[in-house]
Amino acid sequence: MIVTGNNEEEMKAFKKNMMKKFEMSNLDNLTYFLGIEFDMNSQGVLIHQRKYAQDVLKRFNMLNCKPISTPVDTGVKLSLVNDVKEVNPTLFKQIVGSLRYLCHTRPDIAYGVGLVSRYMVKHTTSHLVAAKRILRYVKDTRSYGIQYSKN
Amino acid sequence: MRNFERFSDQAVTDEGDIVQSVMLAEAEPVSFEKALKQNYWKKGMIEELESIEKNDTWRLVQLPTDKKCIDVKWVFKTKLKPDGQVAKYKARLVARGFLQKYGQDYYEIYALVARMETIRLIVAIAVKNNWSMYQLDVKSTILNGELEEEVYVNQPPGFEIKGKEEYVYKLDKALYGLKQAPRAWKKKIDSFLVQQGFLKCVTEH
Repeated sequence: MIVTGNNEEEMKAFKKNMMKKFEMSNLDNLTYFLGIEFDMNSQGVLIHQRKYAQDVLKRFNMLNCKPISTPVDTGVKLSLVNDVKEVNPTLFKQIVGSLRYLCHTRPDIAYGVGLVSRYMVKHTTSHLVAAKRILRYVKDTRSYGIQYSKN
Repeated sequence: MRNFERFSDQAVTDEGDIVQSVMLAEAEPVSFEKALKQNYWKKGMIEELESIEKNDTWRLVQLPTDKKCIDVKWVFKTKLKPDGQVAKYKARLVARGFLQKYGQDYYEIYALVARMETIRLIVAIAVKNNWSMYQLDVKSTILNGELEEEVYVNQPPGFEIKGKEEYVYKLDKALYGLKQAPRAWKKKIDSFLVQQGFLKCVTEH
Protein backbone atom coordinates (compact mmCIF):
# COMPACT_ATOMS: atom_id res chain seq x y z
CA MET A 1 0.00 0.00 0.00
CA ILE A 2 1.34 3.42 -0.96
CA VAL A 3 0.28 6.61 0.77
CA THR A 4 1.03 10.05 -0.56
CA GLY A 5 -0.43 13.51 -0.28
CA ASN A 6 0.19 17.19 0.43
CA ASN A 7 -0.68 17.06 4.11
CA GLU A 8 1.86 15.36 6.33
CA GLU A 9 -0.38 15.62 9.39
CA GLU A 10 -3.26 13.85 7.68
CA MET A 11 -0.94 11.09 6.49
CA LYS A 12 0.40 10.63 9.98
CA ALA A 13 -3.12 10.39 11.35
CA PHE A 14 -4.06 7.87 8.69
CA LYS A 15 -1.03 5.71 9.45
CA LYS A 16 -1.95 5.81 13.12
CA ASN A 17 -5.49 4.69 12.38
CA MET A 18 -4.23 1.88 10.18
CA MET A 19 -1.96 0.73 12.99
CA LYS A 20 -4.81 0.78 15.43
CA LYS A 21 -6.98 -1.35 13.21
CA PHE A 22 -4.45 -3.77 11.71
CA GLU A 23 -1.13 -5.27 12.59
CA MET A 24 1.32 -3.32 10.47
CA SER A 25 4.94 -3.38 9.46
CA ASN A 26 7.08 -1.20 7.27
CA LEU A 27 6.06 2.40 7.76
CA ASP A 28 8.98 4.05 6.03
CA ASN A 29 9.54 5.99 2.89
CA LEU A 30 8.69 4.13 -0.27
CA THR A 31 11.70 2.07 -1.41
CA TYR A 32 10.59 -1.37 -2.57
CA PHE A 33 7.11 -2.32 -3.71
CA LEU A 34 6.02 -5.42 -5.69
CA GLY A 35 9.54 -6.03 -6.95
CA ILE A 36 10.00 -2.45 -8.04
CA GLU A 37 12.64 -0.27 -6.43
CA PHE A 38 12.13 3.44 -5.81
CA ASP A 39 15.28 5.54 -5.54
CA MET A 40 14.86 9.12 -4.40
CA ASN A 41 17.45 11.43 -5.94
CA SER A 42 17.93 15.17 -6.25
CA GLN A 43 15.89 15.38 -9.46
CA GLY A 44 12.97 13.28 -8.29
CA VAL A 45 12.39 9.54 -8.20
CA LEU A 46 13.91 6.76 -10.27
CA ILE A 47 11.89 3.57 -10.45
CA HIS A 48 13.73 0.48 -11.60
CA GLN A 49 13.76 -3.31 -11.25
CA ARG A 50 17.46 -4.02 -10.94
CA LYS A 51 16.97 -6.74 -8.39
CA TYR A 52 14.14 -8.34 -10.31
CA ALA A 53 16.20 -8.28 -13.53
CA GLN A 54 19.09 -9.88 -11.70
CA ASP A 55 16.81 -12.62 -10.36
CA VAL A 56 15.41 -13.29 -13.80
CA LEU A 57 18.91 -13.63 -15.29
CA LYS A 58 19.83 -16.00 -12.48
CA ARG A 59 16.66 -18.03 -12.88
CA PHE A 60 17.32 -18.65 -16.57
CA ASN A 61 21.05 -19.21 -16.17
CA MET A 62 21.93 -16.07 -18.08
CA LEU A 63 24.20 -14.43 -15.49
CA ASN A 64 27.29 -15.23 -17.52
CA CYS A 65 25.87 -14.55 -20.95
CA LYS A 66 27.50 -12.20 -23.40
CA PRO A 67 25.81 -8.82 -23.16
CA ILE A 68 24.49 -7.14 -26.28
CA SER A 69 23.67 -3.51 -26.93
CA THR A 70 20.26 -3.85 -28.55
CA PRO A 71 17.24 -5.91 -27.51
CA VAL A 72 16.09 -7.03 -30.97
CA ASP A 73 17.97 -8.33 -34.00
CA THR A 74 17.31 -6.21 -37.07
CA GLY A 75 17.37 -8.92 -39.70
CA VAL A 76 15.47 -11.72 -38.06
CA LYS A 77 11.92 -12.57 -39.08
CA LEU A 78 9.83 -14.54 -36.63
CA SER A 79 6.88 -16.50 -37.86
CA LEU A 80 4.65 -19.28 -36.67
CA VAL A 81 5.98 -21.94 -39.04
CA ASN A 82 9.60 -21.89 -40.07
CA ASP A 83 12.16 -24.11 -38.47
CA VAL A 84 11.15 -27.47 -37.18
CA LYS A 85 12.41 -28.08 -33.70
CA GLU A 86 10.02 -26.98 -30.97
CA VAL A 87 11.46 -25.80 -27.69
CA ASN A 88 10.29 -26.40 -24.15
CA PRO A 89 7.04 -24.43 -24.02
CA THR A 90 7.17 -23.94 -20.25
CA LEU A 91 10.63 -22.40 -20.38
CA PHE A 92 9.68 -20.06 -23.20
CA LYS A 93 6.53 -18.91 -21.44
CA GLN A 94 8.39 -18.39 -18.17
CA ILE A 95 10.95 -16.17 -19.90
CA VAL A 96 8.28 -14.16 -21.69
CA GLY A 97 6.26 -13.80 -18.49
CA SER A 98 9.29 -12.53 -16.59
CA LEU A 99 10.15 -10.09 -19.38
CA ARG A 100 6.60 -8.75 -19.38
CA TYR A 101 6.84 -7.96 -15.68
CA LEU A 102 10.16 -6.24 -16.33
CA CYS A 103 8.42 -4.00 -18.89
CA HIS A 104 6.81 -2.06 -16.05
CA THR A 105 9.91 0.07 -15.73
CA ARG A 106 11.56 -0.74 -19.06
CA PRO A 107 9.79 0.80 -22.04
CA ASP A 108 12.98 0.22 -24.04
CA ILE A 109 12.35 -3.53 -24.17
CA ALA A 110 8.59 -3.25 -24.66
CA TYR A 111 8.79 -3.68 -28.43
CA GLY A 112 10.96 -6.77 -28.27
CA VAL A 113 8.86 -8.33 -25.53
CA GLY A 114 5.69 -7.62 -27.49
CA LEU A 115 7.28 -9.33 -30.46
CA VAL A 116 8.14 -12.57 -28.70
CA SER A 117 4.83 -12.55 -26.81
CA ARG A 118 3.00 -13.14 -30.06
CA TYR A 119 4.27 -16.69 -30.22
CA MET A 120 2.99 -18.17 -27.00
CA VAL A 121 1.09 -20.93 -28.84
CA LYS A 122 3.90 -22.13 -31.03
CA HIS A 123 7.53 -21.33 -30.71
CA THR A 124 10.76 -22.67 -32.12
CA THR A 125 14.44 -22.10 -31.50
CA SER A 126 14.33 -18.76 -33.31
CA HIS A 127 11.75 -17.43 -30.86
CA LEU A 128 13.72 -18.64 -27.87
CA VAL A 129 16.85 -17.02 -29.29
CA ALA A 130 14.96 -13.75 -29.68
CA ALA A 131 13.68 -13.94 -26.10
CA LYS A 132 17.15 -14.70 -24.80
CA ARG A 133 18.56 -11.82 -26.80
CA ILE A 134 16.37 -9.51 -24.73
CA LEU A 135 17.81 -11.09 -21.60
CA ARG A 136 21.33 -10.49 -22.98
CA TYR A 137 20.40 -6.86 -23.55
CA VAL A 138 19.01 -6.61 -20.03
CA LYS A 139 22.23 -7.95 -18.56
CA ASP A 140 24.18 -4.72 -18.98
CA THR A 141 21.20 -2.43 -18.64
CA ARG A 142 19.54 -3.84 -15.54
CA SER A 143 19.76 -0.60 -13.62
CA TYR A 144 17.81 1.27 -16.30
CA GLY A 145 14.48 2.58 -15.15
CA ILE A 146 12.08 5.48 -15.39
CA GLN A 147 13.06 8.80 -13.90
CA TYR A 148 10.23 11.00 -12.68
CA SER A 149 11.41 14.61 -12.44
CA LYS A 150 10.10 17.16 -10.03
CA ASN A 151 9.04 19.52 -12.78
CA MET B 1 19.65 -23.76 -20.22
CA ARG B 2 20.75 -27.34 -19.74
CA ASN B 3 20.98 -26.85 -16.01
CA PHE B 4 17.58 -25.29 -15.84
CA GLU B 5 15.13 -27.11 -13.64
CA ARG B 6 11.97 -28.08 -15.44
CA PHE B 7 8.72 -29.64 -14.40
CA SER B 8 6.70 -31.67 -16.81
CA ASP B 9 2.96 -31.18 -16.96
CA GLN B 10 2.56 -34.61 -15.42
CA ALA B 11 4.09 -33.25 -12.25
CA VAL B 12 0.79 -31.53 -11.51
CA THR B 13 -1.06 -33.68 -9.04
CA ASP B 14 -4.36 -32.89 -7.43
CA GLU B 15 -2.50 -32.65 -4.15
CA GLY B 16 -1.25 -29.31 -5.34
CA ASP B 17 2.34 -30.23 -4.63
CA ILE B 18 3.50 -28.56 -7.81
CA VAL B 19 2.78 -25.23 -6.16
CA GLN B 20 5.57 -25.99 -3.75
CA SER B 21 7.96 -27.11 -6.44
CA VAL B 22 7.43 -23.84 -8.28
CA MET B 23 7.95 -21.76 -5.17
CA LEU B 24 10.99 -23.74 -4.22
CA ALA B 25 13.92 -21.37 -4.53
CA GLU B 26 16.91 -22.32 -2.40
CA ALA B 27 16.53 -24.86 0.34
CA GLU B 28 13.05 -24.52 1.68
CA PRO B 29 11.77 -27.67 3.32
CA VAL B 30 8.82 -29.35 1.68
CA SER B 31 7.67 -31.39 4.65
CA PHE B 32 6.93 -30.01 8.07
CA GLU B 33 8.70 -32.95 9.73
CA LYS B 34 11.98 -31.69 8.27
CA ALA B 35 11.14 -28.10 9.09
CA LEU B 36 10.36 -28.90 12.70
CA LYS B 37 13.97 -29.98 13.19
CA GLN B 38 15.26 -26.57 12.14
CA ASN B 39 14.87 -23.99 14.87
CA TYR B 40 14.36 -21.02 12.59
CA TRP B 41 11.58 -22.76 10.71
CA LYS B 42 9.94 -23.83 13.93
CA LYS B 43 10.11 -20.25 15.09
CA GLY B 44 8.44 -19.20 11.87
CA MET B 45 5.63 -21.68 12.44
CA ILE B 46 5.08 -20.55 16.01
CA GLU B 47 5.02 -16.93 14.87
CA GLU B 48 2.40 -17.76 12.29
CA LEU B 49 0.23 -19.58 14.84
CA GLU B 50 0.57 -16.72 17.31
CA SER B 51 -0.54 -14.28 14.68
CA ILE B 52 -3.54 -16.49 13.91
CA GLU B 53 -4.46 -16.82 17.59
CA LYS B 54 -4.04 -13.12 18.29
CA ASN B 55 -6.30 -12.38 15.42
CA ASP B 56 -9.17 -14.55 16.74
CA THR B 57 -9.16 -16.40 13.46
CA TRP B 58 -10.53 -19.66 14.77
CA ARG B 59 -12.12 -21.58 17.62
CA LEU B 60 -11.51 -25.20 18.56
CA VAL B 61 -14.78 -27.11 18.20
CA GLN B 62 -16.12 -30.55 17.46
CA LEU B 63 -17.02 -31.02 13.82
CA PRO B 64 -20.79 -31.12 13.25
CA THR B 65 -21.66 -34.41 11.62
CA ASP B 66 -23.09 -32.82 8.48
CA LYS B 67 -20.05 -30.63 7.84
CA LYS B 68 -16.86 -31.31 5.99
CA CYS B 69 -13.42 -30.30 7.10
CA ILE B 70 -10.66 -28.79 4.98
CA ASP B 71 -7.02 -29.77 5.32
CA VAL B 72 -4.34 -27.25 6.12
CA LYS B 73 -0.65 -27.50 5.39
CA TRP B 74 2.56 -25.57 5.95
CA VAL B 75 4.36 -23.72 3.21
CA PHE B 76 7.89 -22.48 3.83
CA LYS B 77 9.54 -19.54 2.18
CA THR B 78 12.81 -17.73 2.69
CA LYS B 79 12.19 -14.01 2.35
CA LEU B 80 15.08 -12.01 0.96
CA LYS B 81 15.93 -8.34 1.18
CA PRO B 82 16.62 -6.46 -2.07
CA ASP B 83 20.35 -7.02 -1.53
CA GLY B 84 19.90 -10.78 -1.32
CA GLN B 85 20.32 -11.23 2.42
CA VAL B 86 17.85 -13.39 4.31
CA ALA B 87 15.19 -11.18 5.82
CA LYS B 88 12.98 -13.85 7.34
CA TYR B 89 12.20 -17.53 7.44
CA LYS B 90 8.51 -17.48 6.86
CA ALA B 91 6.12 -20.31 7.54
CA ARG B 92 2.62 -19.87 6.23
CA LEU B 93 -0.32 -22.01 7.18
CA VAL B 94 -2.52 -22.48 4.14
CA ALA B 95 -5.89 -24.12 3.66
CA ARG B 96 -6.18 -26.49 0.78
CA GLY B 97 -8.81 -24.34 -0.89
CA PHE B 98 -9.02 -26.57 -3.92
CA LEU B 99 -10.93 -29.03 -1.74
CA GLN B 100 -13.68 -26.46 -1.19
CA LYS B 101 -17.00 -26.98 -2.90
CA TYR B 102 -19.01 -24.17 -4.47
CA GLY B 103 -22.28 -23.47 -2.65
CA GLN B 104 -21.10 -25.38 0.39
CA ASP B 105 -17.82 -23.82 1.47
CA TYR B 106 -17.83 -20.66 -0.62
CA TYR B 107 -20.09 -18.54 -2.80
CA GLU B 108 -18.45 -15.48 -4.32
CA ILE B 109 -14.77 -15.17 -5.06
CA TYR B 110 -12.70 -12.22 -6.16
CA ALA B 111 -9.05 -11.20 -5.92
CA LEU B 112 -7.73 -7.68 -5.90
CA VAL B 113 -4.47 -6.64 -7.53
CA ALA B 114 -2.79 -3.31 -8.02
CA ARG B 115 -2.38 -2.08 -11.56
CA MET B 116 1.18 -1.05 -12.25
CA GLU B 117 -0.05 1.81 -14.47
CA THR B 118 -1.91 3.24 -11.50
CA ILE B 119 1.14 2.96 -9.28
CA ARG B 120 3.31 4.73 -11.86
CA LEU B 121 0.68 7.45 -12.18
CA ILE B 122 0.54 8.00 -8.42
CA VAL B 123 4.33 8.15 -8.24
CA ALA B 124 4.41 10.66 -11.09
CA ILE B 125 1.83 12.91 -9.43
CA ALA B 126 3.58 12.69 -6.08
CA VAL B 127 7.00 13.53 -7.50
CA LYS B 128 5.63 16.41 -9.53
CA ASN B 129 4.08 17.95 -6.42
CA ASN B 130 7.05 17.13 -4.26
CA TRP B 131 4.95 15.02 -1.89
CA SER B 132 6.57 12.44 0.30
CA MET B 133 5.58 8.83 -0.28
CA TYR B 134 5.24 6.18 2.38
CA GLN B 135 4.67 2.52 2.12
CA LEU B 136 2.48 0.62 4.51
CA ASP B 137 2.17 -3.08 4.82
CA VAL B 138 -0.53 -4.89 6.71
CA LYS B 139 0.87 -8.08 8.20
CA SER B 140 -0.88 -11.27 7.12
CA THR B 141 -3.51 -9.28 5.24
CA ILE B 142 -5.65 -12.25 4.35
CA LEU B 143 -6.10 -13.21 7.99
CA ASN B 144 -8.04 -9.99 8.59
CA GLY B 145 -10.91 -10.85 6.28
CA GLU B 146 -14.12 -11.95 7.98
CA LEU B 147 -15.81 -15.09 6.67
CA GLU B 148 -19.50 -15.18 5.89
CA GLU B 149 -19.50 -18.90 5.25
CA GLU B 150 -19.17 -21.69 7.79
CA VAL B 151 -15.75 -23.27 7.22
CA TYR B 152 -13.94 -25.87 9.31
CA VAL B 153 -10.27 -26.80 9.06
CA ASN B 154 -8.15 -29.54 10.59
CA GLN B 155 -5.54 -28.74 13.20
CA PRO B 156 -2.19 -27.72 11.69
CA PRO B 157 0.29 -30.59 11.23
CA GLY B 158 2.81 -30.73 14.05
CA PHE B 159 0.74 -28.55 16.37
CA GLU B 160 -2.21 -30.76 17.27
CA ILE B 161 -3.53 -30.15 20.77
CA LYS B 162 -2.96 -33.16 23.03
CA GLY B 163 -6.12 -34.94 24.07
CA LYS B 164 -8.15 -32.99 21.55
CA GLU B 165 -6.76 -34.47 18.37
CA GLU B 166 -10.17 -35.13 16.88
CA TYR B 167 -11.28 -31.51 17.34
CA VAL B 168 -11.27 -29.09 14.43
CA TYR B 169 -11.12 -25.32 14.08
CA LYS B 170 -14.13 -23.32 13.01
CA LEU B 171 -12.97 -20.28 11.09
CA ASP B 172 -14.30 -16.82 11.91
CA LYS B 173 -11.72 -15.15 9.72
CA ALA B 174 -10.03 -16.19 6.53
CA LEU B 175 -6.93 -18.33 6.07
CA TYR B 176 -4.57 -18.25 3.12
CA GLY B 177 -5.61 -20.60 0.38
CA LEU B 178 -9.34 -20.34 0.95
CA LYS B 179 -11.15 -19.47 -2.21
CA GLN B 180 -13.03 -16.56 -0.70
CA ALA B 181 -10.09 -15.21 1.34
CA PRO B 182 -8.96 -12.35 -0.93
CA ARG B 183 -12.53 -11.17 -1.33
CA ALA B 184 -13.09 -11.16 2.42
CA TRP B 185 -9.99 -8.99 2.88
CA LYS B 186 -11.00 -6.61 0.10
CA LYS B 187 -14.38 -6.09 1.75
CA LYS B 188 -12.71 -5.32 5.05
CA ILE B 189 -10.10 -2.85 3.80
CA ASP B 190 -12.64 -1.23 1.47
CA SER B 191 -15.05 -0.40 4.24
CA PHE B 192 -12.21 0.78 6.48
CA LEU B 193 -10.84 3.17 3.87
CA VAL B 194 -14.27 4.56 3.07
CA GLN B 195 -14.88 5.06 6.77
CA GLN B 196 -11.57 6.95 6.94
CA GLY B 197 -12.98 9.37 4.40
CA PHE B 198 -11.32 8.07 1.25
CA LEU B 199 -13.16 8.19 -2.02
CA LYS B 200 -12.98 5.28 -4.41
CA CYS B 201 -11.82 6.00 -7.92
CA VAL B 202 -14.85 5.30 -10.11
CA THR B 203 -12.82 3.88 -12.98
CA GLU B 204 -10.37 1.83 -10.92
CA HIS B 205 -11.68 -0.35 -8.15
